Amino acid sequence: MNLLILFAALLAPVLAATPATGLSVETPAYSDGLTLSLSWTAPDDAHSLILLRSDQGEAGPWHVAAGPWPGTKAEHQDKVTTDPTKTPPAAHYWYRLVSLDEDTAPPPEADGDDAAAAEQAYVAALLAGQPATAAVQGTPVASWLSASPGYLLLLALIVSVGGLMLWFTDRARKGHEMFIRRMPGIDAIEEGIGRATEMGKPVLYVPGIDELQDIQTIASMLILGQISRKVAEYQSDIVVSCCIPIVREVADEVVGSGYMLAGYPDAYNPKNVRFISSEQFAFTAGTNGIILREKPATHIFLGRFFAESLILAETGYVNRSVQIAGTAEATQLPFFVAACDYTLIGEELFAVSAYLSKDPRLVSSLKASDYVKVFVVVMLVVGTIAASFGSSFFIELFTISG
Amino acid sequence: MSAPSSSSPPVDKDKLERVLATDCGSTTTKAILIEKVGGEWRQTWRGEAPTTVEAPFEDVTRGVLNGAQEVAELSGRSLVRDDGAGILRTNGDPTKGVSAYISTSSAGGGLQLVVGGVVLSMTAESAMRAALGAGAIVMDTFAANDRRKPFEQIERIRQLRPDMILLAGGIDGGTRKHVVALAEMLKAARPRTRLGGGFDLPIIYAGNQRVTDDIERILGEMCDLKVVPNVRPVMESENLGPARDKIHDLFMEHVMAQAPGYDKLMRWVDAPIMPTPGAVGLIMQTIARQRGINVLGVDIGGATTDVFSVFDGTFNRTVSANLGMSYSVSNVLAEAGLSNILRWVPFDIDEKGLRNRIGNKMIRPTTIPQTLEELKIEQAIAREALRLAFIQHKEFATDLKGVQQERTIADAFRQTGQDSLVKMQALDLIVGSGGVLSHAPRRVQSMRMMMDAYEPEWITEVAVDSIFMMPHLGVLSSIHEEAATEVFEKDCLIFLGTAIAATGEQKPTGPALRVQFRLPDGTGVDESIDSGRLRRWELSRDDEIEITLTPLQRRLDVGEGPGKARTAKVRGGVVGLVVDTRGRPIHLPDAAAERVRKLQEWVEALGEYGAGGQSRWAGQGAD
Amino acid sequence: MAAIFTPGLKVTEHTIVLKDRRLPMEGEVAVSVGQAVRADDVVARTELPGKVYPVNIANQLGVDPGQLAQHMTKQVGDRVEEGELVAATPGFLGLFKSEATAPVAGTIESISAITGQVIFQAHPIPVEIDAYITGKVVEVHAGEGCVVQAAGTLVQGIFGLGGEVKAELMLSVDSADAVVDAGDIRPEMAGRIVVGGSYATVAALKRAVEVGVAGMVVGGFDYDEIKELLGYEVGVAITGGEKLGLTLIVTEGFGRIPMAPATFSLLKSKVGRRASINGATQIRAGVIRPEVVVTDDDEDAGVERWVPPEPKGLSIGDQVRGIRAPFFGKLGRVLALPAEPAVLDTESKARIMEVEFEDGEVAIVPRANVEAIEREEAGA
Repeated sequence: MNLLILFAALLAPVLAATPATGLSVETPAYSDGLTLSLSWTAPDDAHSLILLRSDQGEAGPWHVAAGPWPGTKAEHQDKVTTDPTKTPPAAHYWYRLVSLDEDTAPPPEADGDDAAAAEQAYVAALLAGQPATAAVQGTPVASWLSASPGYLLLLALIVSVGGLMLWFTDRARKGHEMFIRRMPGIDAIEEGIGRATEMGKPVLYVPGIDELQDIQTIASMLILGQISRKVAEYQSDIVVSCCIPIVREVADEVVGSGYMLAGYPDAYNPKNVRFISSEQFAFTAGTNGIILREKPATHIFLGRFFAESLILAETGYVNRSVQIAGTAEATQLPFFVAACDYTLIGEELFAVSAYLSKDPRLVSSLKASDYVKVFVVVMLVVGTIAASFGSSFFIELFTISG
Repeated sequence: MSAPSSSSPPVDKDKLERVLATDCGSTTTKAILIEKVGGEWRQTWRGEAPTTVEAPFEDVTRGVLNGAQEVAELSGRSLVRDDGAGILRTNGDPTKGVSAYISTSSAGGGLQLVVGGVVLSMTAESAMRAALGAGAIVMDTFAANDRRKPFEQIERIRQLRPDMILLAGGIDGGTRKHVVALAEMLKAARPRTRLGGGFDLPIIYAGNQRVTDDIERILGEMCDLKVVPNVRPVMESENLGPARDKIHDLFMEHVMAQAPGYDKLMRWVDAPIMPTPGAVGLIMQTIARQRGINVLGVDIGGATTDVFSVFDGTFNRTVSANLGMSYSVSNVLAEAGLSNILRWVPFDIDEKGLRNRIGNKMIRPTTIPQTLEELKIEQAIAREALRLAFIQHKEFATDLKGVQQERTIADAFRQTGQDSLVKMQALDLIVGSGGVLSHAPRRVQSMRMMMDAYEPEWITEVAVDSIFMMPHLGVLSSIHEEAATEVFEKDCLIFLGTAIAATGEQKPTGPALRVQFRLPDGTGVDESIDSGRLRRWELSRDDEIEITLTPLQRRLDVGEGPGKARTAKVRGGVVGLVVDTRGRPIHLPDAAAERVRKLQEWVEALGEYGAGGQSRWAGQGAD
Repeated sequence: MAAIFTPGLKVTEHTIVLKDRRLPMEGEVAVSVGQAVRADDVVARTELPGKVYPVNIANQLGVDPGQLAQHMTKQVGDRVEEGELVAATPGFLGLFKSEATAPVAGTIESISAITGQVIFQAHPIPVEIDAYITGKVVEVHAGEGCVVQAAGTLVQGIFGLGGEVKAELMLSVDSADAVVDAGDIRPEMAGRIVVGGSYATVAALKRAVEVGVAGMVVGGFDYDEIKELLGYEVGVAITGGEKLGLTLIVTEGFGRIPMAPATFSLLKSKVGRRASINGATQIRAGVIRPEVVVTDDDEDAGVERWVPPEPKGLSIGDQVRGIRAPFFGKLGRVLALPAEPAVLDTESKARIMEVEFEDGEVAIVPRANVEAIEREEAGA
């Protein structure tokens, strides 16, 4: 309390400056709903300015929102709350701008319990001793759009990908032929199934050794659905060898519905979808056992592979099987290329599903993402060139900020 | 392996002097006489008579005798026995008879087969290759993956009335389940033969040899089952010979024996009667083997188009059942699309009118074009029929599928799949036959049709079979190969000439190819030919010249690599030498007026149509 | 080549019509030689085997194909109802039983010990063949069918769509060269066969289907209309099984061509009579042309099988019709039949004839491009 009196005594006699004029509060364009834009005409004689804010009404209570600034400042972006999850913004805010003279002390930097009281005392002293504008009301409103070039670019990308997809889907539905370049590896899958059928041997499918949530495993499961449907059409058998229990459960479901869709639900034998072991090399040994004992005519390795890739592919090669492998794991690709008949490289793995099913939705998303890739590559090239010549304009285009 | 097993006594080919050959087609029976004239084999006389398989005659031999009689009258040599009971054989008398009589037959729709296998692109395809190679028409192909439900397959088999069924499936030691399922399906369908009659349907089993017992148990009672070695003993190779020979044997035993008069004909001949297309295939193979060349042959008929090819010794035949010039002409329109036909018509025409004209040709198949305009339309349709049949052939003539690949790192990025065996750049000879090609008013029209449809690359000889003698020579080659090839080269084929074209990306304008050679009369030719042109020089078959071809564009290739010159020996024909700089694939302008102008230019460059017609339709094209 | 023979379409008022009525497979013939039959009488019947349903019962039960036989409760040849139990495993103490049922009512064709498949055959579908024309049975093919003979009027068309229809004839337009449009199709035409005109528009045909017209006989129509009507192109001229809604017979060809006057007047004279028509066309070996048959009910066609006379050659003075451009659809009279081939505009050689067309034009036409119009000459 002593402190408060002290402040009041200090400030009271000094009335040197004039208040700022024309204080206005606006919601900025593309606001996030947490910011208000203030502007005013600075008084000639103010040494510094301080901004007070209230979320209750014209009468306060007032808090120091920002400042003190040099007396010439004429605008400010006020962030009404720093942590909107803890302190959600109020519906309205009121502002007063106080002009200070040279001798006015800066706001107290107190911590703990005293802080609020110290601020109140300081503010009261300010309002009593210094010229201030009348209270001006502002309403923070979140706008739908942020004008930040980064955001806009992102939005444009999303819209154009979506638009492209819709457009391609529409075209595909209307019977326009969608060109997907030939991928001999995928064409070979059907050939491999045929080979297995003729030889009276099963097809072996290994969906990689990673968890189900891995994108490659997900892609592999999608492909497995289509392959098992083909296998069912050929009335042949498919053996799926899994390293993760949950993957086996999903594979079981996927293969079963593949047979169902092909119209041969009775031909599905769940014993052929197997969980071998969660241990990488135990799994590898077990799968090699299947290769050597059951002598599948065709091996399909699609998914995420690690050190076991060459062991599997090498065993398969010795077994004289047709082998088709595909992984986005760059380190394993050379081994597959060396030991397998056909290898799907990287992104090709994710295109298989669309390629096989010719489903307009899948094909069009493949097509659209291809165009986006082209766009991204062009941007990279342009950006590289721009940066090489010292222009930061292009990089700023991609800056994402409030 | 290709010669059919013969039940007749073998012919001593050294004693052959004179051979009578007949081909009993569905409408006419064609007889030709092949004689040794001054040490070389030549075809000397020919005769024709309507085929007499159907009512009221119902005896194929009457047509044969009529045909032979015509040859006899023309040659002044008696060929028919006085009692009309056969063809007279030489008995020391040089003015009478022949030393051998042979025949082919396609009467009554030819040999019609249904084939089955486990996988369409594998054993079913091997079975199909065996059947087509034997000269059969494949009515339908059944497989485990033909996307038909078993009951649909059964219903289809019940509708079809094949002469025989060829069942393959599984490699030796391969699938048992699928082959048994196919046999059970056949059993449930109880197929019947086309000609009815009191014999069981012949079924040839050429599949997994370990399943033979099961197949015999299932099908043995129901039909006349013959087991031959597997057409696909392992995934890596085919063994078509035994199945093909068995088809020929059964063709004689069952099919021919049922047809009216064939029992007699079979006793008359000195070599087994072959199905006509089988004989054509045989002569193609013989000629390719003897001369060491790659051959493409086509026979375009009213209802079907047969394509034969021999590339590096591998023979393939396909039948495009619904691509023809009369009965199936509307189907050519349906499959090619009107715009593809119109692109070859060198004048403007009303589309609805054209559709109606084509429809009318279908319902009145025997009519012939009377005006030049009609002829041009017909030849435009022929180009598309030839092209479509060729596409089907290229798709069929591939390496075996389902085989482990030895691929290198470089192949990992290759986007092409299985290549066709048909490689235009390696092709040496195109042989065309069938009315629209053989009987075109001007030979150059046949040359143009084949050049437009097949787009031959680099240096290719083009010929037509003028009187469809290939079937006769096919059977002849089974008893005397050299005689057959000699006659084939000298009398059967009419060499049209040599077509020359560069491959590679071509600029639409500007000079494309420089041609240098010396004509037989000593005149030197040195010309730069612009893109989009056809250029023709007269050159006979007997003259061989040395020609130097120099690509004038960096990417053009005439066989020595892009931009590199090539010198080669070429011969001409009734048309001569034709240099084609229209690009590969042939570039046709999109705008109608521009296209018509270009087509007119090509027509004039080659002198394709008569002048009268030209002036008559020039006015039509201009407006 | 002694005789010049150009096959033409039959358009005759009095002729003997023979119809071979055959079952698609062996069955029972319901008539005997000499028996008079009405067009709608059934002459033969059979049962087509039903659809076949293979089911892998071994997999359904989870047993080895080899053990399937011991679990089957029905055996080969047994009749089953749809959903009836055909196989079951005993399970374990009455638990874990698996059962399999029949997918269709029918019989069990086979039980495979190798594939585990059981083949069910649905009940047969009865098929009956009627006489199609009113006449007499002159021949019976035991188990297959019979030949019905009748005297009457026969008009052959060039191309048709759709199968057999029997109904009363009626005129759509009153001239051979009028165009039949949608407005010419009236509701009273339902269930009738309408005749007339040079050309039927696609609207007219659609309207006819809507109204329920049984058949339509017309001079020509556009080839591309087939696709519009059927939804697919007829590439090969083998027709008869189209699901068009009516039977269509074209007498002249594709395009706008007046119906030949003789054809039109003949059909016109039969208006109100019951006709049997069939659109089935096959232009390969064993030609089948679409036809309109109006039998003379009162006349006795006889029971002796009539034998067709040898085809007559074409001679000078005969009526012919051009069947290919540029004389397509034009009627004329043969002026001369030179023996020597002539060179055509196309430069190819062909045997020709000189024809005087009805408009007075005299032209050289290849013999292959005309057809004789066979007409019954009075007293000839």
